[in-house]
Amino acid sequence: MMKKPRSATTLAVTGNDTRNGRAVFRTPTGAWSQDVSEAEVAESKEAGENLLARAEADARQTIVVDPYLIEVAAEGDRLVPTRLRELIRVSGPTIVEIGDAAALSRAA
Amino acid sequence: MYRYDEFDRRFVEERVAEFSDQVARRLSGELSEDQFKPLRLMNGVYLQLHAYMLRIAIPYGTLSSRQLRKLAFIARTYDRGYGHFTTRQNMQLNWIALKDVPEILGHLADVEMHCLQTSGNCIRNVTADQFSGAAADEIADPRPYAEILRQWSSIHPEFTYLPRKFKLAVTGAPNDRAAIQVHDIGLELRRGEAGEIGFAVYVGGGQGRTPMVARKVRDFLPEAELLAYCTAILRVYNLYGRRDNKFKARIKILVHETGIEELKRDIEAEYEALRAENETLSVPAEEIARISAYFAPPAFESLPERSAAFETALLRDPDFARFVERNLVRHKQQGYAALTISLKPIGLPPGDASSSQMEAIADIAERWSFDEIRVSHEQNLVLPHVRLDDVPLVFAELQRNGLAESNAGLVTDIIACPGLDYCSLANARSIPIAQRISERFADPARQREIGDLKLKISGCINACGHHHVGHIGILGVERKGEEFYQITLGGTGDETCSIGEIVGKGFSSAEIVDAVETVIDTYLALRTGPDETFLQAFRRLGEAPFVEALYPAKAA
Ligand code: SF4
Repeated sequence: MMKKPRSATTLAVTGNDTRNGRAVFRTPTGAWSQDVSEAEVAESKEAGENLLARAEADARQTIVVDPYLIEVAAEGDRLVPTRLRELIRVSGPTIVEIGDAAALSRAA
Repeated sequence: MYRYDEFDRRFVEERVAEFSDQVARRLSGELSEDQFKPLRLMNGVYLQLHAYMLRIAIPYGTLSSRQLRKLAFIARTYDRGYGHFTTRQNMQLNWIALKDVPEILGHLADVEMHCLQTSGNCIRNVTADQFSGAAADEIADPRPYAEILRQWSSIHPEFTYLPRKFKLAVTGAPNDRAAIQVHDIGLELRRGEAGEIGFAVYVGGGQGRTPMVARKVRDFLPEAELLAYCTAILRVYNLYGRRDNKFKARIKILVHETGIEELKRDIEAEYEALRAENETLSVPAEEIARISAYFAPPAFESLPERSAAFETALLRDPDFARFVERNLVRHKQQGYAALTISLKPIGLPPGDASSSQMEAIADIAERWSFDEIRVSHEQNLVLPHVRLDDVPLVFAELQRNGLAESNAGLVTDIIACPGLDYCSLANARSIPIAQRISERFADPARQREIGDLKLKISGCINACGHHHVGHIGILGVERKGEEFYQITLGGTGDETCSIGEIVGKGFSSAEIVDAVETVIDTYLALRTGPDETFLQAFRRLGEAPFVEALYPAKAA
């Protein structure tokens, strides 16, 4: 279970890929990645707003749907969302999926 | 089974073409998400945590083998090889790419299926008893009426933009397995004094954040008047239902705020006006007969009441005996049975079936159940018409495919919504709680000792997991970033419908399974005997002993 960090917040911006709906994160190059560790981070409210504004421009270009800011924390060289909801978006369902093996691996 | 006529076919094909064009325009950037969202929702496409989710309508939970095979194919080809059966008797695919949706809808149309009206403020998929046409206690098969209602409500221009979504359920038996009293309109088939068919009509039931048991507005509505009367109810709702507040927009709130007597007068006045305008919408007897013909009983054989093969298997195989004890339902046709295929294996997600399992079930149904499968609102599948002679063979096939869990109606037969593992509205996870509870109570002997028990879990107050009508209900909430679970007790969706009472403050994820066990142990200690079910015991004892056991410090 994740708790909210007590320290200053680090922000990243997320949305869902318009084509396949997957959770994606905006990277420093302006591309969107399914890997949260590649996300561009903002350390202040202003930087966060700036990041979100760029993401919203991407949404107008049909790249992503409904972008919003999330809190992330550094764990070693990885970034990890602090809220459980966002963690599940990053890591997938916390349960065993019972799909046939081939379909599970192909669509993963 | 109902087969599409020319009108149905054309209608679905046109809608597939229309939505395909809308998807293309969305992907090309011509449509913004704000413009596209209402269009995709009308076609059953949601956006969830991980991907788009497609909700496929299964009218009154009835499927043919061909249709189930197609669902298996779609899940394997476009998704992750499994589907989730819901409490609305629909199927959801959790990992859909938007670009694939037009193709999927084309495949569905090939087997006379679609995703229309599975979302939005319209009349949703009409649900019915999963044992329709099979149950020994049935007065008449409710599916012809559900089908008449489906046809009437499909893109009904007047009822496409209601204040909020609207759900109908029909039961053909006095033992209500369709939870009609927690629907906007619930219909119970009855026979009049001369043997004619009609309905008791209930209005204003619902779950969600303000759960309410429906109120009866008619004791006996003749079958021909079904559509006219439902039209009157919908008109009153459309006119007076609140559009200013989404949380107060369901008809249950209108019933509550207006009072049932006044609302009944409004409905009857509207109904009289409809009749006076000669807009009677009465369903002609020929039309009822035409639709009913699609649901005519299959070609049952004349069989003896008892089957030697069945009885030998009962004696020889204790696993089979356990399966029969819980998953077999008495059939109206001598020598036949209806079988529940539990989608609640211990420790796995409730309501999910893999593509291979769906195909295996389709094969079994084709061979042994007149090509029919049902989806129950309890997230199981049903083989409605199996010869007693064939039950041992069916059981062996189910066992081979991991589908022979003998727990129908027991504590591990849990309803759970997708919760925070998939759903973007969730506050907490449901499925892992269901899995842990089913593991805790995995011992078949212990489950049987506990007996009939309905445990239902929702990941948020929208109550898709029907927790309000669980004998034990669990509601997931979020508190300071952590998952907590509230327990309600004493709910039931059957003919004695009641809403569960919240017993006290919530339990953490680590505590909730122990708390459920405490409730069950308290019941076992206090019941008058094994014949007194959990619900009966709760109704006799009230919540006090359970609260005491759950919160000892508070009671002290
Ligand atoms: S009850 Fe809430 S969490 Fe569960 S499926 Fe419905 S909306 Fe999602």
